[in-house]
Amino acid sequence: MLEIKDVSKKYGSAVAVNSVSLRIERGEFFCILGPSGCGKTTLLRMIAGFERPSSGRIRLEDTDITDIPPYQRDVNTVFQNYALFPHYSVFDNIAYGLRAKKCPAAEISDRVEQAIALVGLSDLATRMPAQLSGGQQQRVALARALINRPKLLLLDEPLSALDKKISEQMRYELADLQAKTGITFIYVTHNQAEAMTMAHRVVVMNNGCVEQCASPTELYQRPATRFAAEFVGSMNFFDGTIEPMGGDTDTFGILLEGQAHIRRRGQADGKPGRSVVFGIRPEQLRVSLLEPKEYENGLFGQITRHVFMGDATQLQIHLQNGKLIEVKVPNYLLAGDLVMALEANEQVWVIWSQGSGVVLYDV
Amino acid sequence: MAGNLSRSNDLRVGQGLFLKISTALCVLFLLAPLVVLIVYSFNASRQVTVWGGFSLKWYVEAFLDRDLWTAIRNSMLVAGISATLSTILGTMTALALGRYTFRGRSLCTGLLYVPVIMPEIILGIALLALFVMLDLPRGFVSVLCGHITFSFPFVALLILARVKSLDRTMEEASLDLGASPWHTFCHVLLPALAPSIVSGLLFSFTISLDNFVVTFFTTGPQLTTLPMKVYSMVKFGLTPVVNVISTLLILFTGITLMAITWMQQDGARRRLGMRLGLALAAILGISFVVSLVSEARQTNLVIGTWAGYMDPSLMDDFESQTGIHVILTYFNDGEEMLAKASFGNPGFDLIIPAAYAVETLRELDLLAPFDFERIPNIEHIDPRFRHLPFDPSGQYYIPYTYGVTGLAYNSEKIKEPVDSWRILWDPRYQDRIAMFDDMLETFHLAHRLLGYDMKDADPAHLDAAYELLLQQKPLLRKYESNLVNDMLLREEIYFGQNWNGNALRLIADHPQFKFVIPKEGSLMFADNICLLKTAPNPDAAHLFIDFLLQPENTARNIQTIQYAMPNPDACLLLPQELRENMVLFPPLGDMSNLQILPDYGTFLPKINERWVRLKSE
Repeated sequence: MLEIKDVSKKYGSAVAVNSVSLRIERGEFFCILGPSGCGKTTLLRMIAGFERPSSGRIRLEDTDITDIPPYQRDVNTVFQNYALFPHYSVFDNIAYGLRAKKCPAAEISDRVEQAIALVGLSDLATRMPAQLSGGQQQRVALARALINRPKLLLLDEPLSALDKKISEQMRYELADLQAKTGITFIYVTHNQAEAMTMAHRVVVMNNGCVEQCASPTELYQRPATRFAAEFVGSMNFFDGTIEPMGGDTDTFGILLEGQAHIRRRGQADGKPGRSVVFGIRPEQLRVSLLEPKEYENGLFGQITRHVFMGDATQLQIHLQNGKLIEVKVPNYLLAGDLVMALEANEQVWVIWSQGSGVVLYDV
Repeated sequence: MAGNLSRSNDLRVGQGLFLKISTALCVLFLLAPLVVLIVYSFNASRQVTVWGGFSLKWYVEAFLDRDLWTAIRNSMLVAGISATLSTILGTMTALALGRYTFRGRSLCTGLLYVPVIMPEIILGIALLALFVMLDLPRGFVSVLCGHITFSFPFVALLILARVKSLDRTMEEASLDLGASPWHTFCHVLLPALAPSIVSGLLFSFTISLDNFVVTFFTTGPQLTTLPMKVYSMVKFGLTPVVNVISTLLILFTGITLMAITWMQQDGARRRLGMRLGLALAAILGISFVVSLVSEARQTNLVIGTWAGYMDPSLMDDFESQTGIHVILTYFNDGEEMLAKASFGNPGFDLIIPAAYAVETLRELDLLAPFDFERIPNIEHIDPRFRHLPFDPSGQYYIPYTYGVTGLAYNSEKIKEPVDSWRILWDPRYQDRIAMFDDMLETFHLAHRLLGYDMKDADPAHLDAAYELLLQQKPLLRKYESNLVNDMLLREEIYFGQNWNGNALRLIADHPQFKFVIPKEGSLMFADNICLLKTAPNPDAAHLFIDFLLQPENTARNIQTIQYAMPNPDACLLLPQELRENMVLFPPLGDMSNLQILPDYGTFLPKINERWVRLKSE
């Protein structure tokens, strides 16, 4: 469907996008995720045609669109600030694209009615953009882009200007809309929750480069890089070394921070002595006053901070080896204000299963 | 609730009595001049500042003044076209500077400020020099270029500010939706810029409409704009006609603004505004077309003169007799006439200089002699005026008007006979005396009273004259030239130096005032018609002068402009009360007692030095 091949964008000596290659399939809800300045918007603007790549090609289906101006591409965009035309009513805004292409008037009004109904704004057709709420403007922007039946719809952080409740509700609506229309969506965001809830596939970008491109589940469970792991959710990292094989072939050993020995299920992807990073998410850890079982890993430490977050409690634990880690404990057992009656300064075991966590080799 | 909150947060300056009073004062200062202006347009009196009852006669006079309407038409045309072109050019400039990066962009932006900051007079002179160098005939096109030069940077800067604040994603959205760049420009960029484009248009229209300085330097004889016409009218005494024009302009501006405001509203108001706007545009359009068509004809004869110094109905008659169209164009003072007549190819046929200017023009070799064979009506001219000192040959001038400086006084206040200038030195009338604010008039009078002739250029005489004037100064109310009539009428003064033509206008309405030429004699002016060497159409000029000198025509001219002309045969045709009017036709005798102001040449700076000293004492 869309093929981005070795695309780079340089502004003087600054590199905004560095040799990115991606394939996006027809009907896919594809998400570009990254912090601000990672090049995701530049990449989107190159797909839309507002910027020309410094090198590389972009193909849409069988056409090379790298040098085609935006108004001749079968691609439409929903802008971050919506970019509605303030001097046109909702109806005229939505009809803009069809009018520019000189559609017959009867067809325009039919298609605009449909598009307005699709986004649920039938009562507001005669309003001006200034009279609409943020969420309503968002829908107008969507209808305005979708009415052209593009092969590809680009969305540039469309929910970032909305308040939390509406933005969460819009996530599901967007996902439904995408499923209903079958149009390929490319969605740019810095919000990992949006990416996780809506996308079929997510690409994580950093400093103009692709860090990882995978489904949300895989991205979360098997992040390929430390950056991807940290950006999607959070993770505790330990520097480690692979230990020589023991008797047991189901697991291998890692020496964390040169002190603690842990076991990890599976086969080591490297020779003993290789440096790795071991990462484990806070919610994969639990705390206990009891020592770990033999099929578990455990580190001993002291609770130093204690933050109640409603659904869970975030604990900061000062490990014996001096490292600070985060543990997220679901609040299924509350005694007074404390999770399982754990208090600050209490000495606890931090325990996890031998199957949990990721081992990152390329560090 | 929100309102209350925000109010308690402000500085509480919106509530005090002080604010109300200062607001009222601001409004008063803003509007008071306009109200006075409008009220005095209905003044029956000729004086601009003295109320003489309600009358519409100045409206009638204004409506009948063909030159005035030509000037208004010219101004509207120049302002309309230059504002339109400036706006187009300014919009393009603003887009170029605001949207594209190119080498020298900041230089270009900086250059935009040059015409804005630079004194207009420098711009005017620079443009004149350029046009002369390019040999571009001065007239409509040059004025238009001048106006665009100073008004388009304003528009560009205004729109540039808007362009810079504009969100580019709006245009990207349009391109993204499949609209071509041109469609985007028309349907997204232009509407977004519309408010600043409209205000740029209005702004450049206004500054072009009331521009004087640049027009002054770039115009030619065929084009007089309203500000130039008004300024030129002021020279011959402000009449309420000026108020009438101003009132009409205020009305026009008001209606235009109302139409624009209504057009931005909804419903019935909008339709009304549209109709109003269309009606205005239609009226303007039709009057432009009519006046342009009526002017786009045949041979022209261009006469440079003062406003109101020739009966316009004579031009119509001359035109219907000969098919030659006469264009009157106005100067503001003798210096301007000299400058314009000598600069490049001025385009005038005839000009009407004062006596001293004839001398100067001859010295500059700018005049052509008349061929009196072709002017048989020259025989009607008073022989005393045929060989005046500034051109004893009499070949280079046709006497036009004359007048005398005399003494105007209020006969209700002064019972004793007035026959000597010495009464202006009488301490009994302290603070009731005015002298002209004019160094030549005052020093000439002082020389004359001492029995000297200023033409001798004797510094000792000059010092004596200075002493005499210094003696008089504590008795004076003021040195004043233009408002002598008003001061007399308000009884601020009982005596004043005055020109007979000026006094005539006062006495016609207020017979308690008298005018005398004191026995010591006085200064006299004689304005003359001269033919320029560069005249494009000397044949028409000769024809016109012969026409003008016909006694019937001269008589009509005298009645209209109320100046004496040395044409005894014409005087015989005047109504008796005018013919025998001692103010209009003061007894000249053998004219030995009267001196025509000569060119004092190198003595002038010395007189000026004493004059400045006198005024600053």
